[in-house]
Amino acid sequence: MKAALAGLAIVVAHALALPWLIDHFARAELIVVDGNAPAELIPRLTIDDDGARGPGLHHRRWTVRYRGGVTRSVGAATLEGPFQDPLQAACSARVVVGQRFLDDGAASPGTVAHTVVAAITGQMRDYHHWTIGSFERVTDVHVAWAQLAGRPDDMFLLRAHDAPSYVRATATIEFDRVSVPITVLLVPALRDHALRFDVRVRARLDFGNRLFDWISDHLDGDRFATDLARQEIGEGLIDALGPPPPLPLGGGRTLRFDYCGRPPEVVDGAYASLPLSVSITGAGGVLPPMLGDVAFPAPPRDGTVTLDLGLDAVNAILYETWRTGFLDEELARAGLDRRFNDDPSVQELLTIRLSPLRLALPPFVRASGDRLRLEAEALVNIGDGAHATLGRVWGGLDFRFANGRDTSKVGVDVTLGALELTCEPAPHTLVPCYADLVAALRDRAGDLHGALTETFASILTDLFVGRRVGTDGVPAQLEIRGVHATAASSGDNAVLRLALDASVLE
Amino acid sequence: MAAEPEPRLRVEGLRVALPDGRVLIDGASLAIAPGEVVVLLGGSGAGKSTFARVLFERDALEHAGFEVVAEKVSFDRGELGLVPQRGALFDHLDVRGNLDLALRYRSDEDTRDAPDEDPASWLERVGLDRELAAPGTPVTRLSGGQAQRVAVARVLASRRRLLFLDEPSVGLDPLRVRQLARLIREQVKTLGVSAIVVTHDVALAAGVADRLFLLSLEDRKLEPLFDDTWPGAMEDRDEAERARWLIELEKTLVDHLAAHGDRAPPRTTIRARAFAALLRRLTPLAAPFQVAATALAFTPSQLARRTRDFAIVGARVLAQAFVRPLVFYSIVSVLIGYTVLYVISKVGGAGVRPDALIHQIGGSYVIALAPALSAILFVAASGSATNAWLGAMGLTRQTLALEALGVDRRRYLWAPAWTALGVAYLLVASLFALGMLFGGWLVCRQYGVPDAWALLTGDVVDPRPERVRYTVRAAFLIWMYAWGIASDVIAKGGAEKPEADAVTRGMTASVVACTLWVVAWELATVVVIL
Repeated sequence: MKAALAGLAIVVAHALALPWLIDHFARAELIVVDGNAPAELIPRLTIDDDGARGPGLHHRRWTVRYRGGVTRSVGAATLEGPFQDPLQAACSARVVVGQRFLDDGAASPGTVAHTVVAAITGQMRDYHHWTIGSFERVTDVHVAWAQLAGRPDDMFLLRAHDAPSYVRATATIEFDRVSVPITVLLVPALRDHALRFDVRVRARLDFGNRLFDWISDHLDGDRFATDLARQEIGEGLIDALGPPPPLPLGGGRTLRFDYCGRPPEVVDGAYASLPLSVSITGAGGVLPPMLGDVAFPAPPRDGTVTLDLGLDAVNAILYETWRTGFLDEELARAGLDRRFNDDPSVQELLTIRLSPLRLALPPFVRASGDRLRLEAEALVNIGDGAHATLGRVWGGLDFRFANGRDTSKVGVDVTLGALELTCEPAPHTLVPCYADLVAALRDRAGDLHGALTETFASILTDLFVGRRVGTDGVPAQLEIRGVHATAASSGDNAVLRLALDASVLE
Repeated sequence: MAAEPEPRLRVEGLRVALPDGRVLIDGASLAIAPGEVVVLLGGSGAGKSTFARVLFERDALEHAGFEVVAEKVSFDRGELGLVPQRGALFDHLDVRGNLDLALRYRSDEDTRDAPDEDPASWLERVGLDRELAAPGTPVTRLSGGQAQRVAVARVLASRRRLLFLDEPSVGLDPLRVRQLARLIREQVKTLGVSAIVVTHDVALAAGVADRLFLLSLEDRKLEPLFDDTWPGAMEDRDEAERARWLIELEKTLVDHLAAHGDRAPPRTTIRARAFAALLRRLTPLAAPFQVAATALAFTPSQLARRTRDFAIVGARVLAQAFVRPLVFYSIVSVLIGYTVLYVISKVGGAGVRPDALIHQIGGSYVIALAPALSAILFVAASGSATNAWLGAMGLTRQTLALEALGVDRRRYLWAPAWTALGVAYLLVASLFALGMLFGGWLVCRQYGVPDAWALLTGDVVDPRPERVRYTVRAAFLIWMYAWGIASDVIAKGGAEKPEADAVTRGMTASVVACTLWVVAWELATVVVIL
C-alpha cells in the first residue's frame, strides 16, 4: 500500500509540475520597449533597417526567425531629415510648356495663340475709333518662346534688366482703315517670390498712306496702338501663362504650387521650363524629408505641358495631403477596413475586425531601381472579440510606370512590396501580432497585384485626366485629356514626369 | 542422546480460504527434517499447489484475496527452492541462462562470490547431456522429462536445501517418472537436501517419499498416510515391495477421491468474503501506482548490480514492444500523417490555397495528435505483447519459479521491463512523430511547398513562442504515457493468472485503463495550457 501511495504521489507531483514546466520552457516573446528587445533573444535577433540611407521614412525591423521560415518581427517607422523648409521651398518641380501648347503654327484651337485670337476678337468685336475705323479681325498670330540671341530686333523693346528669354507674340489687328502689326514680348521676372511677366509691346499704325501716316505720327497713333496691344494681347497672354492654379483637395483645402526663385529656362521656339515648388506648412514638428537637388531630364520637345516632379515635390505633396487630413479621408473613402471586415472569408473565418486606417506619419516615396516605392505607416485599431489593440501597419507599394500609347489612363503597375503589422499594446511597446495572418496576406501579393494596379491607375487617372484646371479671374482653363507618366531615377532621387495631353479652353 | 535436528520446515495450523470464502486448507501441520522427502498427495482442487504458494508467495496470495492464517510457518526463505509443474523454465533464457541465473542468485553466501561454476556440470548431475548447456539452446527444444530435469538442476544449482517439487511428473511417461524419482533420491542423499513433493502420481510418491501426507478433501486437513507402516522411499527398495505399496497407496487414494472428490470446499463468513471482494477490486486500481514506485526504486540498483539480467529482460521487452511492431508503427504513422494533413489542406474548400493552410498548420498536427495516437496504439500492440508475455510467465509458473530461486520478480522482471517498456514507448512516440511528419511531407511535396521538412519540424525542434506550450505539453504527455503505460502493463501482466483467459482479460483491461489514462491527461493538460 505504501508503494501504491508513493506511485500516486509521483502522479500528483507530475500533475503539479506541468504548469511549472510550461513556464520554465516558455520562450521569450519578441517585445521591443523603447527600441530594446529582451536580452535572451539577442543571439537570434536580427535588426535591419530598410536599407535606404539618408532622409526619408525609415523602418527598423526587429526579427526573430524560427525553423521552417517562421518569423516574428516588429517594426517602427521614423522620419529622418534633413527636412524641407516651409519658408524656403526648394525648386523640386517644374512645368515645361512646350511650343505646341503656345502655338502650333496655325493658332489652332487649344493653343494659347488661339486663345489670344479669341480673346482679342471677343474684346474688340464692337470696337470703333474715328481714326482707325472698326475692328475687323486678327491675322498672322504667332506665339513662341523666344531668346534675344535669335531675335536681335527685339533688343529695342527690351529694357536693360529684362531677361533675354521671353514669350514673343506677333499679330496683325485689322481695322477697316488700318492694320496694326504688333509685337508683344512677355518677359518673365521674379518679384516677391512670384513669377510675373513684364509686357513689352511695339505696335504701329499703318494706314498705307503717307498723309495718314504723318497725321498718325503727330497724333501719337503708335502710342495708341501700343496701349491697345498691351491691353488686349499682353494681358491675355499673361492670363494664359499664369501660375498653376491651386489644386482643390476638398473641404476648402488646396495644394499650392509656387514659382520658385530660379529663372525659367527658355529655348527659342521649343519650350520654357518654369521651376516650381510645392507650398508646405509645418505641423507639429513634422516636415517632409528633403532629398535635395534633382537632375531633371531633358524636356520633351514635342510636348504641350509636362509636369516634372522631383521626389521632394512628390513627398511635399504627400505631406500636405497627409497634414490636411486629405489622405486619411481618401483612405477612409477607399474603405480598406470595410473591404476587410465585410469580406465573406473574414466574416466566416476570422475574429478580428479593423477600424479605418489613419496615417501615423506622412507617406514617403523613394527611388528603388526602376521603380518608385511608396512607404507609409498607418495606425489601425484591431478588434478581436472584446479585446482591442492598436496596430501599426507598415506598407510599401512599388510603382512601375509603363509606357503605352493610350494616355486616357495612367499606365502604372503596382505591386505590394512590403506589408507588416506590429501591435502597440502600450506606448512605445511593440509586439508581433497576427503574424501568420499578415504573412498569408503578404503571400498573396501576387494575387493583389491586379487589384492594386487597377486601383492606383484609377486614382492617378482621376487626379489628372478629364480635369479642367482654372483660377478666378482667368478666362482660360487648362483641360487635361490624358497623361503619360514615367519615372526616371537619379541616385537617391528620381523624377516623376507627367506629360499632359493638355489644351487651353476659352 | 543426540538432539533431533531442527526441521527445515515447520507449519502448524495452516488455514487457507479462497477469495470467494471457501476454505481450501483447514488446519494443516507439517514438519520436514533435513534429508527428508515428504510427499503431499491429494486430488485435483485439494490445495496442493496453493500450499506451495503459501510458502513462496504468501503476500501475493493474500493480495489476490486468499485468506491465509497459520499458527506457525517457519522456514529459511533462502533455503527454499521450487521445481514447478512442467519445470517452468524461463523461456526468455536459453538452457544455460536458466542455470546461470540460478547460480547467480544461489543462496549459499559462501559460494555466491566464487568463480562462475560450469552450468554443464549441473546438467550432468541430473543425467543430461552437457551439450544442452551450449549457448543458444532454447528451452522449448527440451522434452518434458529434460525440462523437468533442467528445473531440478536449476534449483539444485541455486543451493536450495528445501526443495518444493510441484507436480514434477506431469506429462512424463512411466520410465521418465522412475528416472525422476531416482534423481530426487540421489540428490537428497548426495546434497543432504530436504524435499516436499506435491503430486497425485502414485508411482512418484511411492518412489521418493520418506513420509506421505494426504490433503484431505473431506475435512481439508493434512493427514499422514501409513504413518507407522510406511517403509520409506520405494526407489531404495526391491520391486516386489514397491509393487505392493504402489497398489496399497493407489487404493487409499482412489477410495478417498471416490468418497470426497466432488465435495466443494466449505464456505466461511460473509464478512470475510466481502472483505476479500473489496480487496480484489482495490488491488488492480492500486497496482499500477505500486509498480511505478517499486520499479522506480529498484531500477537503479538492478541496473547497477545486475546489469546482465537487466539487459536480458530489457532487450526481450524492447524486442516485443519496439522492434517487432516497428513496421506497423511506421506504416500507420505515415498513413495518419498523410491523411490528417491532406484533409486539413482541403478544409478551406474552393478558393483557398492548400499550401497556405499547410503553412499555418506547420507541424502542429503532429504535436497535437502524436502523443495520444501513439500511446493508444502502443498499448494495443506493444503493451499487449508485453502484457501477454508477463501473463504467460505467470500462467506457466515462471514467475513463481523466479521467486523460488530467490529472484525478486519486481527487481528482476518488473524494473527492467518497466524501463524497457517506457523507453520503447519513447522510441515509438518519436518514430510515430517522424512517420506523421514524413506523411505530411508527402502532402507538402504534392503541393510543392518549399522547404517543407523544416516547416513541419519547426513546431517540434524550434517552436515559435506561442506554440512552445503545446510542444511542452506533448513532451509531457509522452513522458506521462511512457511510465504510466509501462506501470499499468507491468501491473496487469504481472498480476495473478489462474487461467489462460486471465491473460487476455489482463490485456483488455490494460488497453482500457491506459486509454482512460491517456484521455484523462489529454483533457487535464488542455485545461492547464488554456
